Amino acid sequence: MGLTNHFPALILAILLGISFLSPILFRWVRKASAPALLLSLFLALVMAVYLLIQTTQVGEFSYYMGGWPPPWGIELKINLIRAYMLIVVLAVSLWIMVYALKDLEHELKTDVLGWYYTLYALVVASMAGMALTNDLFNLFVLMEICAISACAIISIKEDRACLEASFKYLILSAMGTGCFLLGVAMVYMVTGHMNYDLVNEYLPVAVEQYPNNMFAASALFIVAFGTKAALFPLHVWLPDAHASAPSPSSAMLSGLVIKIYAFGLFIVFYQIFPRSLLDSIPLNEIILWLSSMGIMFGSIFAMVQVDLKKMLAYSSIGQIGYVFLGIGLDDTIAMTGGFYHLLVHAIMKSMLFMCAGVIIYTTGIRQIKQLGGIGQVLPITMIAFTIGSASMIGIPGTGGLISKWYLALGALEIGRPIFVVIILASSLLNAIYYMPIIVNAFMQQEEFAYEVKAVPRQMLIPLIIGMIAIVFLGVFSRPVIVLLENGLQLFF
Amino acid sequence: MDSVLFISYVPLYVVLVPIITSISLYFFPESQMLVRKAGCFFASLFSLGGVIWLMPYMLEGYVYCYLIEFMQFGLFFKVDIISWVFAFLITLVYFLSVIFSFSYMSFEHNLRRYYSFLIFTLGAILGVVFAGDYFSLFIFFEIMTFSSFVLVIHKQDREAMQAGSLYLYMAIIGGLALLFAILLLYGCTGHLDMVPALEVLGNQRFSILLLFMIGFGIKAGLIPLHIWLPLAHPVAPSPASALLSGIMIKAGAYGILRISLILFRPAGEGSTADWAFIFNSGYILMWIGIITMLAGALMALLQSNTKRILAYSSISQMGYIATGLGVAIFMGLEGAMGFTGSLYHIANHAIFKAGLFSMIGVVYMLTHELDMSRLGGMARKMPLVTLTFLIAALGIAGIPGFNGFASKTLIHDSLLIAHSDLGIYGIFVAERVFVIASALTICYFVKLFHGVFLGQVPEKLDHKYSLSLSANFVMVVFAALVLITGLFPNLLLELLFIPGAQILGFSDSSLQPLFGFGFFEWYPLRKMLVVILLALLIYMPASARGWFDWTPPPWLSIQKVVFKPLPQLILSFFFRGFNINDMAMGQFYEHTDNDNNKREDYLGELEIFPDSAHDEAGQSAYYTSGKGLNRDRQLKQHFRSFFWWDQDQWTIKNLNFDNLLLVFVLGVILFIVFSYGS
Repeated sequence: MGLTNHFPALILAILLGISFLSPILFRWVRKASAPALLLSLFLALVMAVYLLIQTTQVGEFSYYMGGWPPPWGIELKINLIRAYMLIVVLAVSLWIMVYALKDLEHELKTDVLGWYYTLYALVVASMAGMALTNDLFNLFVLMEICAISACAIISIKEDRACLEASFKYLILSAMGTGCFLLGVAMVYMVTGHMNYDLVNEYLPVAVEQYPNNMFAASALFIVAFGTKAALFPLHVWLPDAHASAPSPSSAMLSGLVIKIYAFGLFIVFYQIFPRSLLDSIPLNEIILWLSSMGIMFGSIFAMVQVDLKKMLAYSSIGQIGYVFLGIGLDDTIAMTGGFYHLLVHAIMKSMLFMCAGVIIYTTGIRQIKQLGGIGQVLPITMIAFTIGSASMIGIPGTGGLISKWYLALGALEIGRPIFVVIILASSLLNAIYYMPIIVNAFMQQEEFAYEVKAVPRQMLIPLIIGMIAIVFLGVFSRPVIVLLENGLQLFF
Repeated sequence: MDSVLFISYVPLYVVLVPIITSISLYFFPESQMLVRKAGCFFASLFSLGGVIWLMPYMLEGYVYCYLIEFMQFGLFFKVDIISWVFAFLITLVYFLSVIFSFSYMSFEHNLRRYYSFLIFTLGAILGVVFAGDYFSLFIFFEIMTFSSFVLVIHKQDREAMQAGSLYLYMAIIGGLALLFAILLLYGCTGHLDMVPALEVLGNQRFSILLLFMIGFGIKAGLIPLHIWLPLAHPVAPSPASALLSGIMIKAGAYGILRISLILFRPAGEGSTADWAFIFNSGYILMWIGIITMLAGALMALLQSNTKRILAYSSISQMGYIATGLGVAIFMGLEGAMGFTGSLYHIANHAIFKAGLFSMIGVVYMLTHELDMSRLGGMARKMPLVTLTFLIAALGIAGIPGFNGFASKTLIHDSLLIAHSDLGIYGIFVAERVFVIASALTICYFVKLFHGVFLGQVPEKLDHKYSLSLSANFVMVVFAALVLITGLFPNLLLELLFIPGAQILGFSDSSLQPLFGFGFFEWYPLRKMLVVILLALLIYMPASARGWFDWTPPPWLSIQKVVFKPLPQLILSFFFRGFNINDMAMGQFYEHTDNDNNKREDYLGELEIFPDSAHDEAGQSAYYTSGKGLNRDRQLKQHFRSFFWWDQDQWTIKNLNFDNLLLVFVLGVILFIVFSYGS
């Protein structure tokens, strides 16, 4: 029993530990390094599931690092939403890692593989930490760790495009974290605390006394998380970074990293800020319109891309818009939809990047134009691509429909049907750029014109798991929805 | 009428067996045709049997079936007599089409895909008509769209792909309109059951109705949403065309029926429902039907491709169905005649249109010709095809003794009754147009029959044809169905359609004339005679002077006038903006490069080599990308004249654009927050 109490810290400890161990393992016992990473991710996932079960039984609970209570020590907090985020992060990253083992051999030089595992574990650890932490400064540190290691897993490929993209990402995300730090400083200035709950306790008074501080802080937080999560006008770093990175990194970055910052904004808005602040200044309105613009323009930009991975990256800009839309609509139902989309999109976008990775691995093709007839030679990959795209469009039977359904219902409930129009219009736009790829892949008359290597089984199995997961989420969505509805009640 | 409630999983099995069969058939290798054919045959037979098994329950009440934990709302099936009529037609026509596919498809490619999706679509369409709530209906509607898309593009040539993509996008738009409507409905009522709910909808009723009409109207091929239909139906293989035209478009009609006659009805006695709204919606639907009917018939007259004539004819016949429904809606509780007429016409059209497509398919299978100008004289070569085609054509033309006569008479009578009851001049005009459209129907079938079966046999086609037993069987069954229904029109009317009208709550006074309706009395026969005379009057001079070969100018095409420019306009609006932005960016970069080069010229001799290399690389990159070079030059002039500044000191390249953007956004948000907060 003693050990299970320490699970929140153990998750982070295991992940951070493996990140330091894996270069050593790679140097001395090369064969053990990849299984060790998988094992530790799996262990962390098991612990996260345990935490979820625990929190459904006892409700919200805290863990004090080193036994120090909040004003002095670091507090980790577990409730349904955080456990949900934790499981999404760990499960999806475990799944991507299974795929990555084979793909990385092809994309990276052999001697950097150990370092890749390090960076991968660091990214996962920092995201898990962001899901758990209850302390603003801690959040800042984890954001920096995440940004720098994410930068490194882009640039580890060492070609020109990757370096340029990662440099751009580094600069912009440094600006973002800078904004965040400034915001935290302003909050600290008026409340004297870093712990979420304590800040939340003191803020209502502070907002009365020093309104300007809090206005500036809220603007800074929006820009900080917006930059990190590629909210529309601040998305400029994303297409290059996600498109040029190795495919597992793209899957990881597009699937998880941008989501965790959306979650960060959610925590700041609904756990830290007092209700009066959200009601008095139109923060949600800003989020709503930026995300709607992102939904529309992300899709429109994606339509004109010629590179498959770049198209997927632009599509991510549109899709993260849905998550922000859920946050901005300020309604339990819409937020359920947003969080459901977070999970669905994590799976489907990762899977689409994996498909792109398989295509690059077997044929070396990146151009959308050249994909005609590829369905004949890579059937399972393209079926996975089809299911992922179907989910993007929101075809019944896939998870995408459920999240759109809830978002739209939420928008109607607060009487803003314009956002329903935006959601549906973007579904159409998604169809416009995903459908031709599928149709050409399967229905083209000519044979596929390029040489094709055999697809390794290790790459196909994750794809099949992903397909099953998406269809499962589309058909049996009830348990997750109930979990989210219960979890979100804590925040309203 | 007290309706009894039965709980049975037969509807579920009827839907699932074809779907599961389809998926399992896909895993058989391409070569095992026998297994595939047997699988399709038995799956469609099973569905037909299951639907017939449901018949006794239908006459007494409903069948329910509920599968909770599936999707969000659970899967809910509710079969009443109206659904049953559709389901029976679907399974019957499907069964015949599957048999027809065996001989028709034997020379085609990619049979594995064809048979799998053919039988998959059966499950989806049955799901549409069995669905007991709008969410289940929407799900199956979408599945049906995507699986039938594969049938449309089966040939995979250029024409098929274009038609297919138009079909797909229209269908996706329709699906999204449906989803929007269902969301709005759910927002208003909090449930998605198919019950009358006009009062609850409040002022959103108009948008809900419009969105539902767009969603189902696209599938039903109502003008102006019909543009995909004449392209998509002809390119599919003939058995699939038969299904698309005979069955699939009825799913749209089914949706319109369910919406307008169930959802948009007042709930119960003494409600404060807005009858004016119901009247207007029905009246508009009737006029859409009338226009569709006339325009479809006119367009059919002008075609020379046989399958395209049939496709336009389908549009025209959907117009009849919509007219009947419209009358049934605006007559309120007195509209039983219009409703039974259009339900009857749905049944008849499914039979004769599927039959006609099969027969034209047989002609195509044997001669590989679809164009009337290159066909002719087939009566001597294929007497059985000619006979069955003649019977089906007489059916669609509404000649007494064949099935179309009964339904057209009912729809026509409902118009007459509406006119005499309400005395609105517009209904009188509609009735006249109805007569003209019926005459035109006869004209284009005379033209089609003449072009394919009469006249000289072209030399190329002058050899003996033999036909497999299964194709003969299918055609004979279709013809027999046309004849039986036509000779005993009251049989089906009293067995199925009047009970169907009863569960919708039409008043007894309007149902009364339908019992023992005198189809073969002098009055309806005389009206038909007028139509035939009018048809002769039109056909004789028109065919003699070659009016039927006239090609309508492009500005008459709805596709060219509305549907093509609209997306173009929207997209060009966005992309032109981006283009200008991109070009302007490129221009700024080029300026900086030039300036740098100028500066580098002054540097010492030592640096010449790397500099010129850099310069050349830049130049070549610029020229290879240089499609828009001239435009760039123009833009350069443009920008210089507008924004003049010293480019040596202030270019966008030495300012970091991304970070500027961030600062800009921060500034905007700060501005908003502060201006609201203080």
